Amino acid sequence: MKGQPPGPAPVDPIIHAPARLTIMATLAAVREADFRYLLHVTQLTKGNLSAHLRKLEEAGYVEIEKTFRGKYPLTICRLTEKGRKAFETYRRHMLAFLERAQTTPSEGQA
Amino acid sequence: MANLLRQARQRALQYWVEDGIPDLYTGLLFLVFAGLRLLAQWAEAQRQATWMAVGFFGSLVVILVGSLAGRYVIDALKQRVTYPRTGYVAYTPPSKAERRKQIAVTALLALVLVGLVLLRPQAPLTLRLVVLHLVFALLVFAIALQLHSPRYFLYAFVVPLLAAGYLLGWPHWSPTLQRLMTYGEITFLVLGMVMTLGGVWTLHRYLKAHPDLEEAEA
Repeated sequence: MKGQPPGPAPVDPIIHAPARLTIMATLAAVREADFRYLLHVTQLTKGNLSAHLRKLEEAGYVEIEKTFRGKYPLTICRLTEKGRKAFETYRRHMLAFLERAQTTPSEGQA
Repeated sequence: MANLLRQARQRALQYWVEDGIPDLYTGLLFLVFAGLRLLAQWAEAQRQATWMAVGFFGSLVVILVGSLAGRYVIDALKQRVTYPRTGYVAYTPPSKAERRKQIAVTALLALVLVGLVLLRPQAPLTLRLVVLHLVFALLVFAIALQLHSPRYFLYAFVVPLLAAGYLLGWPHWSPTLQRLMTYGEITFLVLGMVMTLGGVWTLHRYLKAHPDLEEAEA
C-alpha cells in the first residue's frame, strides 16, 4: 500500500455532506434526540435541518417519530440499524483514506 | 472522523450539565446531608438520643434516596426547563466494558475505605482525613474529566483545597472540629454551598440565553 497515491475513498454521498455528517455523528453518539437538540447542536436553520433529516429518513438512516410532550410538539430522531452500520462503514473508509493519505509520500519527494 | 464522534459524545454529556440543574440538585443534597450529620454530632454531644437518631438515619436515607432518585428528579426538572428550550436527548446506556470498569472502581474505593476503618481502627485522624478526601476528590475529578466541564473541575479542586486547609491549621482546631473535618461534614457543607451557587449561576445564565420556550418545529 505504501507509495500508492490515495485513491478516492468509497464514501456514502448521503452521509458525506457536512450538515448530514454532523447530524449522523450527533445521533450516533446518543440513543435518541429531538429536533430542538439537533437545532441547538448543529446550529442549522429549521428548514435546513428539516430538509437534511428528510433526506436521511428517505435513505432509511434516520427514524423520525412525531409526538407530544404535554402541549409541546416533540420530534424524536434516532439512527436506524441501517444508519448506524452506514455511519460505521463511512467512518472506517474515511479513517483508512486519511491514513493512506498520511503514509503516501508527496510528489517530488525523493 | 474519530474526533467528530468523540466530540458529539462529549457535547451530549456536557449538555446534561449545561443548565446547572444537576449541580443545583447535588449541591442541595450535600447541604441537607451535611446538615443532618451536623445535627447528629450536636445531638451526640448534648446526649439527645432522638435527635441523634434523626440526624444519623436521616443522613443515610437522604444520601441513598437522593442518589437513587437523582436522575429521575433532574429529568423531571429538565422536562419543564431544558427540553422545551434547547431540546431533549437520551443517552446510550453504558457498554458492558464500561459497566465493568465502573463496578471495579467502586469496589476498589469501597475496599480502601473499609480497609481504613477495619484494618487501621487506631489510624490517626489526619491519615483518615487525607484518604477520605483523596478518594472523594478523585471521584469528583473523574466526573469532571468525563464531562470536560470547568465547573466540575472547580468542584473537584475544592475538596483537596479544604483538606489542605484543615491540615495546615490542625493543631489549632478543637477535637470536635477535627472530627467534623475528618469525616466530611464540613467538606459536604462547603462543597454543597459551592455547587448550589454554581448551579444557580449556571441556570440563571442558561435562562438568560434561552428565555423563551420555542413553539414550532419543522
